[in-house]
Amino acid sequence: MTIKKSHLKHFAPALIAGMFLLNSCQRDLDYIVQNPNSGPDTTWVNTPDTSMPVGQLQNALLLQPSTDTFTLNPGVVMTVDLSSGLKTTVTAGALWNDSSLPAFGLLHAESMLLTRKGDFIRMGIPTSQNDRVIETGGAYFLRFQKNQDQLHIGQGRQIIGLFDAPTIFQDMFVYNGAATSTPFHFNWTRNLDSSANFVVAPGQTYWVYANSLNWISASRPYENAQQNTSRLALDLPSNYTNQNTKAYLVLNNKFCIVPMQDIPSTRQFLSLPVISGDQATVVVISKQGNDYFMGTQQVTVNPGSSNPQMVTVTPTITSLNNMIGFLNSL
Amino acid sequence: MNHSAFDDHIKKQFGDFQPEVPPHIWENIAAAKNKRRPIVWWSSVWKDKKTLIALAVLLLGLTGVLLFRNDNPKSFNPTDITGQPSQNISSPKENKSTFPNNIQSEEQNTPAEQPSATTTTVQQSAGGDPTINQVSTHVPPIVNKNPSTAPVTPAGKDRPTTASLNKGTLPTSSTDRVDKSAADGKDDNPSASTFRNRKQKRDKGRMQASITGSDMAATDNNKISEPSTDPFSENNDLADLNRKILEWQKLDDEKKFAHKLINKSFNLSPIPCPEKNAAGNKKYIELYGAVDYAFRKFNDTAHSQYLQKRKESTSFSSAFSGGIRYTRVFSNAMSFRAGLNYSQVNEKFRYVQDNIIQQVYIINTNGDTTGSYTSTSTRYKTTQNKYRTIDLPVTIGYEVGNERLHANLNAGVMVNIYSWQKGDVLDTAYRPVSITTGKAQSPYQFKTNIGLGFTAAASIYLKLTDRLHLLGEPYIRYNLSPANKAEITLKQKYTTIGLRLGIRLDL
Repeated sequence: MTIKKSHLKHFAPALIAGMFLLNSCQRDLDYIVQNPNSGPDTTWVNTPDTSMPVGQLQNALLLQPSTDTFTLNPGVVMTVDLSSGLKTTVTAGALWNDSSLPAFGLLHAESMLLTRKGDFIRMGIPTSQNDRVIETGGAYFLRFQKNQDQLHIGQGRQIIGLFDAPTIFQDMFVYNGAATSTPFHFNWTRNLDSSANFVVAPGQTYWVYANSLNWISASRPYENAQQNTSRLALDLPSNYTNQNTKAYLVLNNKFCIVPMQDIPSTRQFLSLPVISGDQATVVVISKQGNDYFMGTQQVTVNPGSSNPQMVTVTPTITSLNNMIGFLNSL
Repeated sequence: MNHSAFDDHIKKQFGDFQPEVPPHIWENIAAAKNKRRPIVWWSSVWKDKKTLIALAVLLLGLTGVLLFRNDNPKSFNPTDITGQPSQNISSPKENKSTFPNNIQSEEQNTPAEQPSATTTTVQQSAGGDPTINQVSTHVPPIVNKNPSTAPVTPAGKDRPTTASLNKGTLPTSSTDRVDKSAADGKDDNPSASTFRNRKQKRDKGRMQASITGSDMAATDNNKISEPSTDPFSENNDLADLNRKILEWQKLDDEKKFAHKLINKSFNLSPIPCPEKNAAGNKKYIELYGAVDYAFRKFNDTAHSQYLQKRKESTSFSSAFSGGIRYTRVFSNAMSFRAGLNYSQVNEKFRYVQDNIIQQVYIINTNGDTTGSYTSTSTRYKTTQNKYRTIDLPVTIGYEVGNERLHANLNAGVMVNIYSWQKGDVLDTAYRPVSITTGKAQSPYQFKTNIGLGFTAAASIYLKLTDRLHLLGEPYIRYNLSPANKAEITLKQKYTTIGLRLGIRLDL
């Protein structure tokens, strides 16, 4: 075989070039591959619990109660200004211990006053009674202790809770509030013992006479049966579920915080009936991973229909402080 | 007979003798030249035209000299022809020698005439000059084809006369002829030019018919009549000489020349056989590239889990090298080689890390982050490790070969000049750590000088052209020292084998 010089001239450079080409084809790699089934959790649960992000969100927004100490002497009626802003008038002998004996002396009072709409959202306490919206003038939490023993109001006795409000309504009733067996559900119940539980509103102050402690509000029904109401449903991204999201409908012109209940079957947040024509603000708060998300939407409640009114909200990432600041501004 | 006249006659007859070389001889020589591969020093000779011409002239001259010596009557040692001791032979009285005639006819390239059987004998009288008796007197006529030239007559000082023959010996060799010419004051240079000059002189009519008492006379056609008497008839040796000359004259030109070649030894220097072996003080420059394979060897303390992990995390990928070197092959076939070599070993490092918790954000088309989630992932890290070295190989060897193929076995040391690396390896916590030179200081990095190593190779060279060889060379390289630093107990060492391909250029 005759090997031409021209072949040799090209052979050596081609060999060297081939070497470098092969060498350059290899690249360094450093990448992460998600495991199968990884991705946002879009499942709805029948009963969310406090371990879920929604529980973590709630805990992050909670207000802390105030603690005060005072001395109650026998035969004295005391009005105590609690640090929460609530005033309470306690008659000596009104507070009993578990032995049904009046408590005197040094007492500890634990209180919390909710007078802003945002405070109700932060505490996860909507204004509703048995799936009906109520309008509130304010709510407070109050309990007493003596020597680590919880005290209660004695038979036939009452205490008075006093708080100021920007708007005063005279037809307020005493509602007792309590968390239900369903997590993240809170319900108000009107106290039907009107002789011992009633609200008086002289000036700009609500005087709430109650023969119970814990959560007490001065509220009234929001609507009546003759009014046209409508429900609102939320259209959220799929990654917003009842595991990580809470939603409220805050009426703009009334002190009503309407809960938007999670419906796992339809994968929706559905509000209680709201009077048509009322203007409201949809507030969606969520916690996903280590991040907080919030979305709001102004709506006008449409006339009632068989189908709920769909409201599209796209929450975006925010910080906890921003979320609290917004809620405080409601 | 005047012996000197005979000599002069012979001189004049052969003075312008210029044998012509048949063309096919030169063709054969050229063909033989093409077959032979030129070797070192004489390759350039063939490329030089002037040298070629000079050689041709020299060859011609030598041939002519040898032919002249062969044809000169002086060279005709009677011993050669008759086998008898040489005797003083006088030229015939009547100058009827046919010697110059025969040679002259050859010079003129005339076809040999069929001579008659002529026996020339030389009889020496007891007390006097030998008398040449010619038994047969049929002498072919002298034919002068050049009318311008003076007729060659049997008489005159150029023809041997009886007096000249009686005077002295016939020229026995060209040397004698030359000597005699020198004594006569003539410059008889047995070269082609001298022959040509003599011919010219003869043509000018220096020869004159002056046969004393000869019946032969110049004719108009420059023919010389046959002598009526044969002065050699009485001398057997001379007649035999004549006979042989006439027989020789029968041969064609080629055979005459070949006869001279066969019977004469040409004092030419022997042409050595072209490159019977590879030795011979030669110098080369070699350029090569190689495809290699590197064997890794790890050493660590006993039961080292780290060694096992380190071994599993890396695998050989590819390797190559290239370089340039100078090779000197001495006369005794020993070779010395030194150069510069670049080597690169490519290795793949793989690392897998499970259960990596990642926060993934969901971003909508508006660029808003609308969600996030936590995922469990696996990290895959692949790094192309590169181990590069620049070395100075120094080897000695032995080279043999023939015209087309050389083989060189060599071995020596590989002196590392500089080493540098790029990539990652596992640390003792089984996490990736960089070994890139200059990037960071860590005990896991490699040396920038790995010291000495041994190398051996078997080189094969295939000749392509006069100065170009194709190189193929399997080789092995063994490093004495580990490649990594001594700050960790684990040692990593490389041994490389490969096949080099390249070219070799004769200097």
